[in-house]
Amino acid sequence: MDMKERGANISKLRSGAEVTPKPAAATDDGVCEFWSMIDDQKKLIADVWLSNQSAAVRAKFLSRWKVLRQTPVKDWRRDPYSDLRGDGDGLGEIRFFVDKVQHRPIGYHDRNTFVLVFFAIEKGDKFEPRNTVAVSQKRKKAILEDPKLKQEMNRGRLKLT
Amino acid sequence: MADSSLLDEMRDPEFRHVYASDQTLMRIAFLVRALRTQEGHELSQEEFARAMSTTQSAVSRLEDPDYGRVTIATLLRAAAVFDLPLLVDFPEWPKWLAEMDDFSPVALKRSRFDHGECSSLAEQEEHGAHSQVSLYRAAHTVSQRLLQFEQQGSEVPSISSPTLSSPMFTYAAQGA
Repeated sequence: MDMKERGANISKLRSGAEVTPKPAAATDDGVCEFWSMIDDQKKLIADVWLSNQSAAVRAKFLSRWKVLRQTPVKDWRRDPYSDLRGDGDGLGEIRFFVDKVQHRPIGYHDRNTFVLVFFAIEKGDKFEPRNTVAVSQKRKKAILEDPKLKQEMNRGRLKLT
Repeated sequence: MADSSLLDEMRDPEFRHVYASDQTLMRIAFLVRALRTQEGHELSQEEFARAMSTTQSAVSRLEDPDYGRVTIATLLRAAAVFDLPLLVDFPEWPKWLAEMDDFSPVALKRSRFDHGECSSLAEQEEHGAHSQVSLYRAAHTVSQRLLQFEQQGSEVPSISSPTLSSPMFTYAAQGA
């Protein structure tokens, strides 16, 4: 069984620096827009995931999202965000904790957007499901090849005054 | 301001309490980090910890929105290092939504204590208070005169005084 099948230890996948390096494609002062992959039904996987979560999980996710949307991408850092490295290179996770569960929405930066591709949880320093990183990389590749597989998220969007 | 879909979610008490709690913890974490690294006053976590007479790990927890056990005493010590006051409040929801709307870097910047600026603001407020008292007295006098005319059964004269027909007076009278 190789590393990808077992699921790499997440601590080895994360950037250890306090300040996460700025993603190469991000603009210096750009405010980040959130996009999501769409499923076979043309629904945003983020909307489908959110609609199956408790009020507490939705509240925390939308709270983190609101703050990250207003934070220049170069300042995205732990917490509430961490870049992944190793097998997860080019991916990042939004981090939040609700009712003893460590939630880890996974996505990638593309210029001044963050595209959500998977929703995992973390248990014992491993992602669940264990193939989170492999599936996320596969989805990222598919979207980069066909940009129609992503759409902008508007749920809970805040208008800046 | 928040849009309708977020406000719809906030009808649920559990949602709004978790959301408000997380926004508050995020605000503290982001503010401490932003003020610690603000241009001209940059401090590392270690330097900031020394100034607060605490440890680097305590500062790290202060900047962790998931820690959730920050005390008022710790925030007051941080406020002293920043030379800023600490404001704790239980605002009504519309005010809270407006106050918490902006997390942009500009919104997290703060100016240090400036005696001249504070004096100027205090003078303005004092002048404003005097103006309000003057307007209230003028409105009270007019209402007393109108009452006298009404009691005497006399016709009420038209108001021609420039002071009493000014927009400010009209506003004050309408407010009364």
